[in-house]
Amino acid sequence: MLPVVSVVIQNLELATVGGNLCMSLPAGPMISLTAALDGVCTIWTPAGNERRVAVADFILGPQRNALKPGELLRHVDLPISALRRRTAFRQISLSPLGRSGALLIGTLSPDDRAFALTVTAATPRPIRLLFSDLPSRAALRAKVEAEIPQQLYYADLHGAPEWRRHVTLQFAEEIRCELAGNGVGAA
Amino acid sequence: MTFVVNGNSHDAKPQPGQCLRTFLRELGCFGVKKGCDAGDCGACTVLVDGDPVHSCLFPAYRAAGRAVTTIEGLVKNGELHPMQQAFLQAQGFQCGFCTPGMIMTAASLNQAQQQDLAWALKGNICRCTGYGAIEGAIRGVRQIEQAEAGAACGRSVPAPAARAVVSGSARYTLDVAPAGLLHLKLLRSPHAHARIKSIRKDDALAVPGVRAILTYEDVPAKLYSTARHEHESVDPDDTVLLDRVARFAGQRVAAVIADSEAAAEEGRRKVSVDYEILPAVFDPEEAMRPGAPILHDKGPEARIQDARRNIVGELHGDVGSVEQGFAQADVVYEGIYVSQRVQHAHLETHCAIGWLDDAGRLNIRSSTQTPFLTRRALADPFGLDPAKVRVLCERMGGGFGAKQEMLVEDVVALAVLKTGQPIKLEFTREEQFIGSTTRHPMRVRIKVGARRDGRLTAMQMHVVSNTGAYGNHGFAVINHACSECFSVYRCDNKENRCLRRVHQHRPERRLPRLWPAANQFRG
Repeated sequence: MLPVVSVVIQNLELATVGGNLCMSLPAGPMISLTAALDGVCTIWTPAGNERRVAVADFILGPQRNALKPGELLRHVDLPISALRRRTAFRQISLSPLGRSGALLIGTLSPDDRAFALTVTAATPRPIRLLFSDLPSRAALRAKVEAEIPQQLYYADLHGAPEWRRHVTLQFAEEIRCELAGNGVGAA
Repeated sequence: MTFVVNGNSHDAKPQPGQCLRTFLRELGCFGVKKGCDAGDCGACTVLVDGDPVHSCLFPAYRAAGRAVTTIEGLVKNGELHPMQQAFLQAQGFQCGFCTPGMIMTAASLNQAQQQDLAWALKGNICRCTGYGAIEGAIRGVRQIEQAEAGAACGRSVPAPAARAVVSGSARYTLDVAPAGLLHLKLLRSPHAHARIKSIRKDDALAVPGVRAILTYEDVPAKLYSTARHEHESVDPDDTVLLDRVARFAGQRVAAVIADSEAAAEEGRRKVSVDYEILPAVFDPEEAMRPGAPILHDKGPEARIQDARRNIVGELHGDVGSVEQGFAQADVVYEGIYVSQRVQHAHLETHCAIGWLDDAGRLNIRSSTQTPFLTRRALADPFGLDPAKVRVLCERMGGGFGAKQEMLVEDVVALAVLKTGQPIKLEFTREEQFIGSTTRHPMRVRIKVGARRDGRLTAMQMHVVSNTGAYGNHGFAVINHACSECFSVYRCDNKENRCLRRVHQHRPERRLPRLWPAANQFRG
């Protein structure tokens, strides 16, 4: 799995994982990556303490995050268990090098078949949908529709909310099929 | 710290948090441009150890001990770099403001990277729509011809400034460093509609480096329009230099003048304004209804057609009878079209430097499309002899119509006259969006009847155009958009109604030029 990094040539050597998280754009590729892999942020506070918050909770909305004045994001931990999972990835933009309109990552645990779907770019902040087992097509669709109502889809010039909803549902199903190992479109 | 810039060593210490862009400009590298200060546009691109970086994002201290190359450094012994030569011979520029950064990135590309220019140049924006010419430059296209003196007519001669543009020596408005320059920052209203009860300046004046703070108490009372036209009566006089009433979030409230931009910003944070918040209206249809908040409670001298209904002006024009025309039609089409609020996004933001010369003449060096009209507009409210005012524009980094508007020159002139010192004001990119002008959003209802042979039998158009909180170009734009475009159709029955421009509490906005399908901003 390799998220599409929408970085420009001038920033290839300069852009950082933490900077991408702190920018807190809906289409932050490092947000997609670390949220999908159960990333946990370690934050240093001005008083000299540390606090930890899941990446999915760190991002509050477009250019809004959990950092308070004077705090800094020190590092992000990815648990070994997340790295052992199988993954499936889908991304789309309105133009070939454009900002992501939807970026979905699914993970499947090799131990208990727990399935997690992480929706980014289509929504103002990461949305994580957790299942104890790989769901059926209908169950997955129902959960996406329930957890991401139409008004939650992000609206800006990188994609209309109706389109983002459409591709999110499409990608969710493709990811489910890929991880089920029975081909795209299987029930 | 030692910095090696274009092969020359400099012992210097950047300010804490200073980016490489402003640091290099302080060293005199004016070819390093500011477009966005956010790592998006690439106008500030320089090479650090051979790699292109956005110098607006690159901490200056990080360049210590590394080789920094700017556009000026590509020129060796008066010889252009091959990529500069390529841009010159392809005329791969228009205003030229993006060109130094574009050339720096292009010059760093290897052959493999040059295969995919859409990716390789993603970090460099050209707003004059010149990508075709830029690609041509990198591919080695030659667009220019040599012409002997007297034989240039009909030949493809290069732009006179071409060499200066590609070598980074073309001087735009802020590419000069007068001695004793002070910096001006504008405090803007956070409220869409509010009356200023009082402004406390003492804390701000106590900030080291702050020289003066100007408010509604310091300005000429005379009303004027920021829009610039040959005929002054085209635009409503609804603007005071610093008004006691804010009519959109972003309207300037006070000017803070200091020795440095940082001190001016710190002073701005310390200015305390007590607002009486007033009801606001945000929709042009609602703004015309009875009982809506009135934006400009002004008399006929302001030339607002119907100030009580927030209508700047109306334009009606009928020919023949549309009822008859529609009755004769084989086909009738009806539709509603809505256009958006869009800022022109010229890469060089609005900016000016003003000073008094030895003869006591007020000089304003500005990024303007209308230096002479701006001179007239400055002389009048300040009661100055126009011969004692000089407005000049050496080279402009894009304007697209937004710089046919006096958005910085008036407040710079005020600051120069109050302090006697040279003053610089440079809009940030954010200020372009909240405090400058935009296209007028329009709601256009059109009904057209036609015969099967293609003849138009009737045309009916109703337009509501939103001019924002101030009228400025509102009337001129509606004339171009509705009257002139409508007139070119051959049709016996036309109805052109409800062509209104409506005040509401949003930034003032205007359309640069209207072609029937104007979706680009080209000056």
